[in-house]
Amino acid sequence: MNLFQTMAGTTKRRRRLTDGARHVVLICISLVVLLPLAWMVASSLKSNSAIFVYPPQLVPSHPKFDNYRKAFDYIPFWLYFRNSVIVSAATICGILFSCVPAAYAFSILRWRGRDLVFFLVLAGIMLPFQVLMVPLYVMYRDLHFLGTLLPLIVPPFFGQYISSAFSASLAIFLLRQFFRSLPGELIDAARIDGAGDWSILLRVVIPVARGGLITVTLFSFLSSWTDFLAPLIFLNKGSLFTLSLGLQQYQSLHFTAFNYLMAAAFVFALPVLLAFIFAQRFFVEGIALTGLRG
Amino acid sequence: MPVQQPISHASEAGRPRWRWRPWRGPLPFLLPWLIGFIALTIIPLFLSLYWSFTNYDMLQPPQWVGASNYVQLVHDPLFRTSVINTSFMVVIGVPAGIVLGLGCALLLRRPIRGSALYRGAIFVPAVVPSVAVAVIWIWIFNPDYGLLNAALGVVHIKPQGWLASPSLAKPSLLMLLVWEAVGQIMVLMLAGLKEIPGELYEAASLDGAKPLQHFRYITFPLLGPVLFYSLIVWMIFYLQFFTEAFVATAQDLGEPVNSTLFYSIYIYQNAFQFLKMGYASAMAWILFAVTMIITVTLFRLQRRFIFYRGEQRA
Repeated sequence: MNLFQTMAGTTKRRRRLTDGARHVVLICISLVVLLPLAWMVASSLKSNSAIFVYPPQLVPSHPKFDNYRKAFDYIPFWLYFRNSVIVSAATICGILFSCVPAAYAFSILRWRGRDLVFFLVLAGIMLPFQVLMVPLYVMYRDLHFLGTLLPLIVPPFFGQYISSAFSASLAIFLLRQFFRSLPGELIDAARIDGAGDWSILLRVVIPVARGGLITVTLFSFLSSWTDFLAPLIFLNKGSLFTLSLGLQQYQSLHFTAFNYLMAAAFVFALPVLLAFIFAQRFFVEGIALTGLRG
Repeated sequence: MPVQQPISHASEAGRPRWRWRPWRGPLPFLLPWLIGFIALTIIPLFLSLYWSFTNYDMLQPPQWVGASNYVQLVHDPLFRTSVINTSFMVVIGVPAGIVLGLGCALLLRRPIRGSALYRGAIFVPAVVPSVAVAVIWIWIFNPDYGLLNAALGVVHIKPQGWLASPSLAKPSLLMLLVWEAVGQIMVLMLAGLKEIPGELYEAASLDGAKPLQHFRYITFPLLGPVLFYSLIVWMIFYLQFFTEAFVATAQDLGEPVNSTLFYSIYIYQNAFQFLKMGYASAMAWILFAVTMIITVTLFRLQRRFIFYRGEQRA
């Protein structure tokens, strides 16, 4: 008894000590990780003369909030913002429309060849977008999709790539994981009550697995909002640019207005940052399941 | 309790009879995905394979040239450069990200006051758009007014050219990539660590195991599947590395002196700048093949080295 108490005492003391050390290390890591973002915000508030100064100030002495208005006028910012919103909103709707029933078929329904077909979905995760981009470009050209936002809007409704990084296959995989973890009795009970598969999906599975739907919604938003390669290839008109593409216009060969560029980058990142702050739990859950934010 | 069996028409007829009823079963649920899979994945996939054996340039109809694209690639010095550059990112970036991510996860493993805050802070770069990440770091790497040279100036290190320097451009991009990846890897590792039962450590402690031995004999082997999984996912991801490099060198793709000419950048150039669609398709198929070979090889190795819990070793 006595021995046990002393053992508990020493481990407790040692633990408190290492906790202090852990705090120090973690604070250092957090600061290093957050510094680039702080530098972005600080730079976005510097005047044209204050930004090109050596050594640079970390905190601007006279913050110029006016920079944001100027940054929005420097390029057609709100036009690009609108395009990004359209593409992201369509992507989210499309993915939920096509991938939720597909995930249901791969998890709750039982049918011959299911695992084989699901293997094809998984293989889709491995398929590099670089293989598809050339033929898709030519197909979209022949369909007269180029010159519209359709190349980014249509595929999600058919359960295909969301962005060049996060594939719709990953969304199906993620939803399937969530659906599989539902208690089987729940679905059996609904089936005994005479519910068909569509009403089981709509009335039982979706309400109970809404965490999975939120995660997939967030991931679809994040990846369509931030994607660069697919817009770069398919959007060949300035008026169609999303923010990913538009941001490049602050840079030119001879001069880059870094304060405006940082302001625009911050506003561009803000929607995803806010989504992350308010829904951290779902991001973490999704990453734990897929290993990638896309 | 007897559960009422659904009455099937087949059994009523006396013998099982298979009927084509496509509106029943999985097909309606899969239909949008299936159409897309065929039209937007399978067809382009085989078009691309076919074009890789042609001289397609998007203006003229493709003409069969056999394996000449592949032969040409072997002799193309820029192809070799792009392979070396990409390998550099994969071979150094992936292990670096995994080691740092695992380190952060181990630090945050035991609950500590504010751990959610630390976790959030380290994860934040993952939700910043890649293009924004690229422009932030371009500015940090700015040789004249950037944060990094200023910080190095404090400890009396000469200012460097970073993205403008042929020897430092790749390591600079690597730094940026690791900054983006660590938080994501950490979150995955934390989820893996949570699965390891605490009793194992208690038992080991009673046997007198030191913390380092805990890691060597419990944490590391039991985290095997997660480590292995992140290895595959991030290798695939880095093999396709494109956006940050493209934005960082947008004025002059691949510069300085082709030190940032990555594989995907070179595919893009061939396809959309030089209009060598056939050549680009051949490159893309090599990328696909390499991705599959790496994945399959790792899966094979995994069976040898990684121990899944609840599984009996043969």
